[in-house]
Amino acid sequence: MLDSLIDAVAMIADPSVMVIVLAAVLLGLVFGVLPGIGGLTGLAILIPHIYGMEPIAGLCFLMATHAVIYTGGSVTAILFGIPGSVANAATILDGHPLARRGRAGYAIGAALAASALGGVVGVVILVILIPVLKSVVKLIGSPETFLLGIVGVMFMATVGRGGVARGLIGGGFGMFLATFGYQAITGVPRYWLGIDYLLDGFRLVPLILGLFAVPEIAHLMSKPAASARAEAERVQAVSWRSLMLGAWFVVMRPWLFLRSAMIGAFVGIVPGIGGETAPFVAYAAAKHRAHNARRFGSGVLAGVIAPEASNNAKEGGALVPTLGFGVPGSAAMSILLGSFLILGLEPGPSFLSDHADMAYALALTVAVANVIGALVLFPVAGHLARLGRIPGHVLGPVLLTFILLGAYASANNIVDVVFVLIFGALGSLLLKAGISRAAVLLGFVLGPTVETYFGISWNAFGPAMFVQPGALVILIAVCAVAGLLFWRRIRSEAAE
Amino acid sequence: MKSPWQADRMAFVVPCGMSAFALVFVLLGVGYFEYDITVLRFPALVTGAILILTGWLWTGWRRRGSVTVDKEDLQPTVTSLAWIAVAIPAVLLLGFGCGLPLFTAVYLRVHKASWTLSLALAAGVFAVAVVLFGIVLRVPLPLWPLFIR
Repeated sequence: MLDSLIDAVAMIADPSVMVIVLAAVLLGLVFGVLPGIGGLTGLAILIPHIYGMEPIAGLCFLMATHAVIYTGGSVTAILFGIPGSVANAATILDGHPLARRGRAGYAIGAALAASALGGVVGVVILVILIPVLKSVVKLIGSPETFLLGIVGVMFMATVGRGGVARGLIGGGFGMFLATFGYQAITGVPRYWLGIDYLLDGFRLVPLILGLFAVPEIAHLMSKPAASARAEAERVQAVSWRSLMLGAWFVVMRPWLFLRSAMIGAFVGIVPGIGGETAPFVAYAAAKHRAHNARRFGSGVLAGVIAPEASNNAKEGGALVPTLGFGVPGSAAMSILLGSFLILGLEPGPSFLSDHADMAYALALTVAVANVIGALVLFPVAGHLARLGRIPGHVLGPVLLTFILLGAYASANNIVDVVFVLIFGALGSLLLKAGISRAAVLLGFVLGPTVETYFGISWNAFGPAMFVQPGALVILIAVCAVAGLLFWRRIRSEAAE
Repeated sequence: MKSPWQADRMAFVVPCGMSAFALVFVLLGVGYFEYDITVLRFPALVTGAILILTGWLWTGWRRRGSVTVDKEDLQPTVTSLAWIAVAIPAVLLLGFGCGLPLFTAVYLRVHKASWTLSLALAAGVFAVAVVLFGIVLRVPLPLWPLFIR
């Protein structure tokens, strides 16, 4: 292991690789800041450019880009309430309210520090656990994957401000939206109504942009110019001091940070679920353990640190099944798998034994890219925040331009642009009704996985799927957590 | 003047609308599309859960009388959404290269921005669409109006 690590350090210390990593970090930050160009689209745009590169250079290029996209996305999520990707949606819950209260600098500082350090922690955990986790991942079968998906949505439902029932309705509705289009198990197109676009179901990027970006833009555009200017003056002051204090807050809350990063790394390991779920689970865990849980959602720094630490740490976790089994840990990792084949490499158990140095080099690239990404964004964040001083009626159409271009660029389909508006109207209604949009999104993301693994498990085990050893462990853990939360609620109500 | 849609009513109407949407599609699946049980099982389970939760919410609201939600008026948001809705046909008919700059310029002029600012931002939007997305990122955007494509 030590030899492989030394070889890995030598690989990424090569000047040509370092230059590529630096360029990739800058590109990744731009992709992250642009709404709609998330990790998936960013990698898809860049993948044609790795033809002809050395394998290590090509992989480091993609990995570094992907690693910092969430870091860039956190800035727009906090300032404008527009997530760069699914993972950044959890940051909005407290990051954007903080920005609206004039504390954008603290939120951005905390987010950048948590992102950088979270990425490093994720990699350290990955390096330590690669040999051990091979056997653990093999224990996660269909019933366990199904239950983990359900648990992910339930976690999200508990953190919304509108109450658990409305959060669960949101999560269920997201899952229902995901049932449109071809069913994975039978191949039958469901509810497509004779519209070709619906054969593949609703698309993720228009849904994200519609649910989160359009209501925020509508809010910006709905403010009269004078009041918008007054609000912007109050809201968007980002000083070096506030950035540093935000970053220092991460250091002052080591357990919150470490717990969130570890949740990110471990949840990220679960193939197909971890990537998008980790920040929401970390947020929920932070909320449930906080003494000021009721203030979560109104602008609490812990609510920024938890998702940001986990969404960069999860990349380390997601690399485990991707490299070790050839099973992508997240949607973006599936593109990374494609790049392995382009570069003449074969991911899977043999990869870890034949190219252990390359696996560790990829892990180190994630850590290095996260640190560089945060360092680059620190001095730029203040300038980005000044964009928030522009009156809403001026900024609105400009942001709308990026949204519509991003929606089209995700699949080169003009119908996506129309669906941004449809989901935008839905997002505005959900906002007014106090239903968690993040729960709808997570339900939509996990819906196909949950349905597929439910079908497989039911066909294989029938009702006995719930008493498989792994499934039982998950169910007992969920019941224990639910019981604990219920007990705490009864105690707090009794105290009041 | 207050909007006829009140926030309390929204908090009830929206979950009901979501339940109705899911229920209609499940019923369509049974009666019209005649899907197999394997195809309908999951959507039906999810819809059942949503309906039960909506019923539970309803009983809770009846017991408590009201809920805590944002009381902000909907009217300005609806107006802004209508403006955003105008941008979509502009893009569909005139392309990203013409539709978006035109929308930007018109929107800003209507909201009393100066001609200089309106035209400068429209030019910026054109540059983002054509240069950044069209040339740098090589996204095959429909840049020009439908009638000259």
